[in-house]
Amino acid sequence: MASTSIKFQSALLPIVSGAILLSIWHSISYFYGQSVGYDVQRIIIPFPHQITSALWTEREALWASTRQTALSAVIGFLAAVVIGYALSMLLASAVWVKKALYPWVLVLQMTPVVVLAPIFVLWIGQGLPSITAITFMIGFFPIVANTTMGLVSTDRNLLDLFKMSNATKSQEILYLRVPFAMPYFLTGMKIAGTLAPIGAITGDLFAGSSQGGVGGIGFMVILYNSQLKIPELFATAFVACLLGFVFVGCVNWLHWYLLKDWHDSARKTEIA
Amino acid sequence: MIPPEKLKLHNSDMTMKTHPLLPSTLLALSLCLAGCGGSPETEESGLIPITLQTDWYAQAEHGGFYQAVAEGYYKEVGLDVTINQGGPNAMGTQKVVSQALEFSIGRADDIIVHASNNLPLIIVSALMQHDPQALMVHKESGIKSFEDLDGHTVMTTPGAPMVRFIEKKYGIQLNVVPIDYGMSRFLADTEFVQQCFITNEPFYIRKAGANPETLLIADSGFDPYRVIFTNRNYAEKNPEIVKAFVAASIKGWQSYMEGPRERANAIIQERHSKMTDEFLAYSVRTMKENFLVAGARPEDQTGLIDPVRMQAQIDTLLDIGLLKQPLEASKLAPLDYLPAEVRAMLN
Amino acid sequence: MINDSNQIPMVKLTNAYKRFGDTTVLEAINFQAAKGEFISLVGPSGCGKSTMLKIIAGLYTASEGEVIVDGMNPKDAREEMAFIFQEANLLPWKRVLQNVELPLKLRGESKERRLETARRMLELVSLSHALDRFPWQLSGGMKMRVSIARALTLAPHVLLLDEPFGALDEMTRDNLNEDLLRIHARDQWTAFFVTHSAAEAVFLSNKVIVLSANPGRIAEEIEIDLPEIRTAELREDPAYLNYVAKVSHAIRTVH
Repeated sequence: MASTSIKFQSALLPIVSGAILLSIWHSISYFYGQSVGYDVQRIIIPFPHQITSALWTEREALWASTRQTALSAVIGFLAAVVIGYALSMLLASAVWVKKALYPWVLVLQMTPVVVLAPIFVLWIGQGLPSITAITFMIGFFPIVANTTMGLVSTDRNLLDLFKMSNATKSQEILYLRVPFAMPYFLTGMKIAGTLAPIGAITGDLFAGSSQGGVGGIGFMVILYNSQLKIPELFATAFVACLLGFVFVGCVNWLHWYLLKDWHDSARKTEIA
Repeated sequence: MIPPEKLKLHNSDMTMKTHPLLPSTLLALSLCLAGCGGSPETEESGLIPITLQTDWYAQAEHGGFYQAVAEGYYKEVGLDVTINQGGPNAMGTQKVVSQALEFSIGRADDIIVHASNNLPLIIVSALMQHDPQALMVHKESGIKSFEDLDGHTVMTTPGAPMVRFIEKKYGIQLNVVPIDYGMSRFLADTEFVQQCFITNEPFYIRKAGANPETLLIADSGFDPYRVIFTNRNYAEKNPEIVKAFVAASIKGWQSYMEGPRERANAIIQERHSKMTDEFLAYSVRTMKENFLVAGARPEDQTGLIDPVRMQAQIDTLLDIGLLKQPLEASKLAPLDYLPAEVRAMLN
Repeated sequence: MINDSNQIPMVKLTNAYKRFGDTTVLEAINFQAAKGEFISLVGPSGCGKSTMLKIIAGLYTASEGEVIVDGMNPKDAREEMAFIFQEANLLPWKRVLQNVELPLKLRGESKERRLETARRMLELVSLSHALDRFPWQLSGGMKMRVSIARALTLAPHVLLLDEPFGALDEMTRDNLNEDLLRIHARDQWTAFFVTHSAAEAVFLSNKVIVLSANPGRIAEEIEIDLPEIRTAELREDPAYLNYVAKVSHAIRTVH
């Protein structure tokens, strides 16, 4: 009984606050419209209902562009995970390797993506490959940083345990280092999951194209902005936000599923 | 488990990727603060301060305005004009709509579309009789006409009316790619097609060793004016100021095209160091050769708007499906602000 | 307690030194242990007890001197040794049964064999009911039992224990002491047991070695002459209490 009422409260609170925020928004739009005229207001602060109506009329275009952005986000993310993990294994394999390569990984990370993106487009060409590359660039560093950390931080005593059992290097890696690094890797993966949709949309701004009729979400942003279709622009923002939630939700679920048996970060309670 | 230093990297990562809405939102907020109408104040010198927002960095395509400043034509009519340079995000339309400034320039088709969306804009004068917009192709690609563009990758502004027009008229499909205002993509691929000003990019492309050719958009039948526009409410309240600005600007353009134009060019060069003498001469020459500023026909005088042609432009856009509602040329582009001698050319 | 000095020593250290950089942690260590002996190492903090254990285990190499385990170099004798750490050191992502079967798995033993051995060892430490649990679901004492079961799967000849019960409460500790002796009586491995507790050392061992600190040297070897079978009642036996006092005194006065 107690827990259902708590759940009810937890669901109710954001709904109530959301409704309040929407009313505040509506009021601001109203008063602004009163002062400058509603046609101007529409392209500066659209009413919430103007945005939902734009969302409805543009639903096909937005759905198509979301699918496209989601595709590049997923592929870029998976590339970041796989290549990131492989790179981490390489970096963790020997101290000299890490010293030799890690600074360059950092350099790559420090270079803003908005600078690298046009370079990618030049080399790779327009469209999905470039967008995926840009998404990859944004997501791979958190994975590399965290996973490498996890692979080299293996508990000293556990390493001794394996040594005492005369474990081979590959046994040590497979049965000890890799599972031990899993929470670190998954943390990195969570971060990369948050960044992937942003990366795909950013990639769109540089490498998007109208191939096949519609571009990705970033392309729609440019399109609506250039046509001063501002309610549609807000609707696009909303859709992008939704995509982010879905993406992050999936990645978080994976984090929970893989760690639920044994790791603090996935478990909520503990036995003394 | 992760030391704080590692996490910090990710936070700064996220702030570097700007949300698509950020520029618009910031602009919206600043416009709210800045503009709710307001009449111009009279300065001590007695001149009325006016701001013109141009759509790009200072260039010969704005030459007439700089000429009017340099030769004092605006001062003669009692105006103290400031010319704002633009860039990729000039946002002249938004600023005029919210009356953050008085005038801006742009292509007529864009203004028509905005006006059909009930934005309070009004066209007060033509700036050029024909827009310099063109599509630049490599000679090697063999593209000679608009039909040949079918299936090509074209770098232009997504959603631009001219793209829809060309696709519809010639029955072709273009792969539109957002414009990045650079040259490298074009130079790297001989099949690449890029939107340009006929007065601008080909010069640099030739210098880079390639062989560009241009398809002037006007030749496709999509032939918008390049116009000066302002806020309708402002114009209704201050007709004398608008008339004065238009008259002095037209005089400035006539003077600039005829020459001498050293003083105007000096201002341009001071603002935009890329503008060499050679390049400015090229732009002016191209404008003349193509009759862009003053048209080839006697009726197409500098600054004049022919209502019949304007209505045809409106109807073309309506035809493609870009307008929310039909418009009347006489309402959108009344001739009231043009000098009498220019208006007389119509009859 | 078997204390037959005629037998070939299971473990023998001859003039062993251990230095870390400029610091000498162990100096001139000489002793030997016969098969089946239960030897405790005690001494003040920093006297090198754990280091000595790790040298026997082959996790450290002696800087000088000779270390023999069952006639071999410690690294070669690893298959005959098992180390029980201060912390249970279980793999948190594996269940109890998988943790116990780990050493045999690493050695390449077949699945049925190692599961069977693991189950038997868990029964030995009375944890058959907890096979499927994860380490986080176990108490400190239970985790330590799992650690012991894991060590025993290898049927070691030498068991090295580094303050394994230090973090547990007294009652759990006493129970584990008795369990350890019970298994020792059965399997007769040679044990080296590092502890801070004089009482524990006396209860478990037939010989207590007292080390001094800075550098670590063997200060005293105390033979514990108590019955072979030791039960809880022994803790109140005057003879036992005497030995405890003696060992405590030795620890305190050594420097």
